[in-house]
Amino acid sequence: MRRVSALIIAALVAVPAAPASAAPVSAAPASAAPASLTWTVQPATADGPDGRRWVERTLDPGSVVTEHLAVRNFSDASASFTLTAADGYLTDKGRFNMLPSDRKSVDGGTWITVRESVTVGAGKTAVVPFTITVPRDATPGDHPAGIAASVAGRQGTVQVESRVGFRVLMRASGEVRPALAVRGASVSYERSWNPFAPGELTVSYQAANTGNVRLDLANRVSTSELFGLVSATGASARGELLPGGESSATTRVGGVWGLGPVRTTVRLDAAATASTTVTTWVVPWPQLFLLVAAALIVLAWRARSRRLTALLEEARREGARSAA
Amino acid sequence: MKARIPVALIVALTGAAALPASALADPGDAEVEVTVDITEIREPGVLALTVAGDAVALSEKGSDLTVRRFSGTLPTVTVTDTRTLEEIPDGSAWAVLGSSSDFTASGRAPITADHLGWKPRLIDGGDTGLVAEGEEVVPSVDEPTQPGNNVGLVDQELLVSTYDSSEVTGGAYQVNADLNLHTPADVAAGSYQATLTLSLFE
Repeated sequence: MRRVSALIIAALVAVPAAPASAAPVSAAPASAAPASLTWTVQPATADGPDGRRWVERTLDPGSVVTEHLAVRNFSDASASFTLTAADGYLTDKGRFNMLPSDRKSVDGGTWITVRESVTVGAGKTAVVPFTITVPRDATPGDHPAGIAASVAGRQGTVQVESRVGFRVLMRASGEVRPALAVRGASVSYERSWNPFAPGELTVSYQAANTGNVRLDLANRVSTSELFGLVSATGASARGELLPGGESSATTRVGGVWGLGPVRTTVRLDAAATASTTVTTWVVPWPQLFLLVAAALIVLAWRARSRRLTALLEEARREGARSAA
Repeated sequence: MKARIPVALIVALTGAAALPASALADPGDAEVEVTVDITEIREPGVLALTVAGDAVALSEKGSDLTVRRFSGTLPTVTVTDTRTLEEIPDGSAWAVLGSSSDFTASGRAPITADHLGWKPRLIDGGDTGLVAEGEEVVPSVDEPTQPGNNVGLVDQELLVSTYDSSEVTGGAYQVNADLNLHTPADVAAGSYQATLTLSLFE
């Protein structure tokens, strides 16, 4: 792996330099996209990339600020990139993305203005300013967006538009209101047919961010049965939720015996908390079968010993009769 | 990172060896002194995307009386991470997501994006096993191959991702995908086009 990284750094640093000096006359490079294109986009200052992971700003409604992005072309040919900003969101699996170009932004994405495209020479970095204009009536809280540089094909049945971007997390100043909700918790129990082994509970639920700020949550699922005598906890999962966002989660809790009512509590923790409790009735069939089997054995044994006693009694009476 | 050290070392060693040799050589020897300055690369690492093409032509294969089937291969996508551990903040995770627009042709009803499915295929996932391709998504006219996955590429589906950037830094990961467009047999003929958007974010 280390070797690979060194090779790649070498390729990234060395390769673009060579063709640039070897072929300085290729004056119309952007007309045809190169066969293979390597690029990235990073937050920057006017001087170049500044090491930030993404742009995060708290701004007053009505304010206008200028930020920069750096488009870095590591390919051995110059290329044109389309620059776009759009509303940001997290997918159901918790991955950040921004709306594709055929969908219209309605929130944070509309606050950002950036020029349409930029041409970056082989091995070069272009720094492009963009402005954030916060509407005067912006509601307090987070208005996530993304900004990206993309290349798109113009022919073929399926044109592939590839984008690299970073998050632009804008927070309009005002009252921060973190709030969470757990929805649609459902529980299913998978029993072990061995009466001496516990089963497993699967809990599915939706976590929803109903407030106005981004939350980093820790989820915890716990169960309690036999009126609190036995309890178990599921592995806690972490997740990020943007305002208005929802994510579905499934947690397994082992060590659940399923002896009658099982109380399952889903608890979400962040700047806000939310929890819900579901009670499920589980019929402990393996244990009931065991009890019935044990009872039958006892009854059979009792019946047998009663018959033996009766036989003995009869034998004794017989003996007494014959003696008389 | 480590691989550069031996190179620098070899240069330093040969450089050191060359100096006494030339000092001792007779004036008539045709020895050429070679010097090289290798400066340490202080460039911060980057998370970069490479795409080997920007279009896919789908070709018809395996159609029958009820379903027309078209397939193709997504150009290879490479995610390269050259950052050092110090450059990666905690909890970073990158992903390449994909979603398609509807297929449109002038004067024809669109073929909605749910008719397009894909099967991502990891070509090079490194040694860690922590870079994984996304799950197969099959077109809506097909039976699911996994529960409920016959939805097509309407939502943001994973092409390739990792849950922890710091575990897979210093590598290059390659993935492509089989693309499958399945439509009812009575679809109107025409030259349809769609845009498949791939996005790399962290």
